[in-house]
Amino acid sequence: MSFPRIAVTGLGVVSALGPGADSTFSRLVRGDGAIEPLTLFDALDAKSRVAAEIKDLDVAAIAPRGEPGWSRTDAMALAAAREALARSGRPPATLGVSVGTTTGGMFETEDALLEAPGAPLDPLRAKRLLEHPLDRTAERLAAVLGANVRATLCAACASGAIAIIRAVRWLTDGSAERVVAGGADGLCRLTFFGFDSLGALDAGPCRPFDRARRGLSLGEGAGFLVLELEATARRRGAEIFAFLGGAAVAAEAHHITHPDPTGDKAARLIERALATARLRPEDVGYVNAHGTGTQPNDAMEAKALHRVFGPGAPRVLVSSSKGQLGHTLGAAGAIEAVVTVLALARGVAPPSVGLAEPDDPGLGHVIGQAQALTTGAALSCSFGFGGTGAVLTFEHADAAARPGAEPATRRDRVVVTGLSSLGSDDNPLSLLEADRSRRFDRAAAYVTAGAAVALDSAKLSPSSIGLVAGSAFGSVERSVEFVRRALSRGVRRANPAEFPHLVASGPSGNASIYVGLTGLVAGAVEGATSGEAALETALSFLALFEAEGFVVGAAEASDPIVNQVLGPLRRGGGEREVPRGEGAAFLVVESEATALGRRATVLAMVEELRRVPRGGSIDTVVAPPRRPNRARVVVGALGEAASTVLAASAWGSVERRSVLERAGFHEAVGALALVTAVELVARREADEALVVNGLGHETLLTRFIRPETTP
Amino acid sequence: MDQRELKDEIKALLVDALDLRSKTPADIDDHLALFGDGLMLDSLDALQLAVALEERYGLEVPEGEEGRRIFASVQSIADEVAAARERTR
Repeated sequence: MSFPRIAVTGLGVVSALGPGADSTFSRLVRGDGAIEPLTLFDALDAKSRVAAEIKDLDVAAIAPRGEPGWSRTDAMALAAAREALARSGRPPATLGVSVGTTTGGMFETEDALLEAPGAPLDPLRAKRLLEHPLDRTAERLAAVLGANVRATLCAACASGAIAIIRAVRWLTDGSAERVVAGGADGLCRLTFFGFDSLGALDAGPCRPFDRARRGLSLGEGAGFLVLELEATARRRGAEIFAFLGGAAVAAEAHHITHPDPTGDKAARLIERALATARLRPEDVGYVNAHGTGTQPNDAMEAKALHRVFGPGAPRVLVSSSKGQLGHTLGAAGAIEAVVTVLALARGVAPPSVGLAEPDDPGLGHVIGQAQALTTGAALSCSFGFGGTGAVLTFEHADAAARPGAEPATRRDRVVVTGLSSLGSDDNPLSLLEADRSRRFDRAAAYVTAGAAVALDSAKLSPSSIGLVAGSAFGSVERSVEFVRRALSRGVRRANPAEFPHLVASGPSGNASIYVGLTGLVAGAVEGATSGEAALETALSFLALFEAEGFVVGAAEASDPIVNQVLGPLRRGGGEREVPRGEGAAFLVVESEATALGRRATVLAMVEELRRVPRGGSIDTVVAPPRRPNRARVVVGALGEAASTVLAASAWGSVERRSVLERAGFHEAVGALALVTAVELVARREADEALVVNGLGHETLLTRFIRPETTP
Repeated sequence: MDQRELKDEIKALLVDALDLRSKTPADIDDHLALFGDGLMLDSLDALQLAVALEERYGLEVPEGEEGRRIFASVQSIADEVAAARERTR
């Protein structure tokens, strides 16, 4: 285990209890609640009519120069990230932005698309859809805050916590001196009607861990932490609020909405998080639980805590913030991380508001009054739809570094051992067992079939393998249809079984359950470079944890609304006309040691994955081809900037392949280009292959080399 | 509509509403357990089935023990639909 000690030097929260991490925490400690009648939209016939809503959010005042197109989620995220950065002192030389979210600007998309069903989109509404992708929030934050690296992940209700872990690698590999990492999610009809149709919402404010609990309450907000290496923070004399000492992520591969009822998997996750921090259970004084207030979650979590803490369980303070802040979905893991840090820093554990009579009286529930916290370590737990969980381990700022706490990350080389690619001619559903895939949409079918084929070609049994599936848009049409049906027929007649599949991590969650993947399972979002973003995420987790391996790639299923908007725009943009297609491509990546240990056939080695900003040069970040006639360039979606960058490079004269002719244009072309490059190397048509891909302001470069080639 | 027709209609509704791609209505026996062993439906199917039965027959299936009894099999659902029709007649 090689988790470095990371200093938390900044905190920011925007919540229904008010802007500001400190004021939110003080009000949590006082026992104030913010779950009140919903005003943002009509709750229709929903059983619940309450939510923790931010009623005074002024989006135009937060967006720089009142820039139009900002979603409420964007605004919450920027306000919280700004607060966290301001707290951390003078701006850093290099900054990373990592955002976890589940629905991003869905509320605004609903406003734009619900008015005139079926009618052609007018330009204004079409423009709104271009703001829809989940990575817009991170993109905006990066632009305003001047970040040089950014990432967007969706892992349902664990998104915020996983985005925090994702950012750690940027600190250890020198990409960023400081990172601002967390999550944001605004309320929207999709999640409100969706959870209500599942019968998952309590009619009143939720009651975490109470015997009479009836479900969760939704909320909205954003939470961000500023993280940096302990040595960096000490050197500049920064105020350290706490240390992030360890973490663990895993998927249960159990059910799309229900956790493993035994709590065993959650218990193992907590134990692993403690092990990465070199802590024992008795070192933990406080757990900020996921505690949603649903029957299955709270019962499962209570069992897991008993498993981990044994006879010491009554001594460990446990509370959930969701009775006050609601369940803020993609923001929850991040806001609750801030709460956990402040609990340690201020020495006080806030209560579980709504909890009167514990279902499990054997735990150290904080009921009514906040309690003093004296022990030096605390956990923040998140468990989401699809079975993805994340646990963050924090230690008091005064805690001494534990033996063996060198900030080393693994430097194992990463190799590719399996591949898959599927196009619109391969009906992905036909590759899957009908019974086990019956609720899948095309996106889920593409991810599942793509992952299964790739694992099969790697001759790898799934076990603790992770899955990061890139996608730019997700299921826009199905999401809008779900909400339309709720509006026209009532929330009680919405399609409850469909809702859990509509969040951006639905396809990866479904695939993990179908295939049996229990590593990190998440969606990565970054337009036409989502496949590279997925690979980059996997590389960061392989470096941080002793993860066995990952299936990474991207899938983009044809979506009528997206086609309607992007079809005309591409034609109008003066670019060469390429029809929109759909498809998926995946790679199995693992450390070279793991691959050799199991005698796997190594197809190629991942030499590097780099980003060139607009106006930058390939040759400054990637070495020239060693033997140009034995090298190939594979281009994905090659925008104007990427073309210019490539033409000016030593790689410009190398023989070039394009995947667009074969695939048509879709946002998974980057992943398809990665697979094509690996194939060229594996077939010995080239000793090295460079994938050049990018439509926006960045060009992604991924270089694969033959395994026996020494760098 | 007689009991036979009603049960066949409910079977078709099950296949359609729950997207049972590998099944035809004829594969579902009147007394086959829908949840647990048998047809292996889960809690999401229960919610979706409740929506479909309300849409088609105006039948409101309560939560809890009573709901579980009604959802036991095609036979028990058909009995409940028939009883509800009697009540409203």
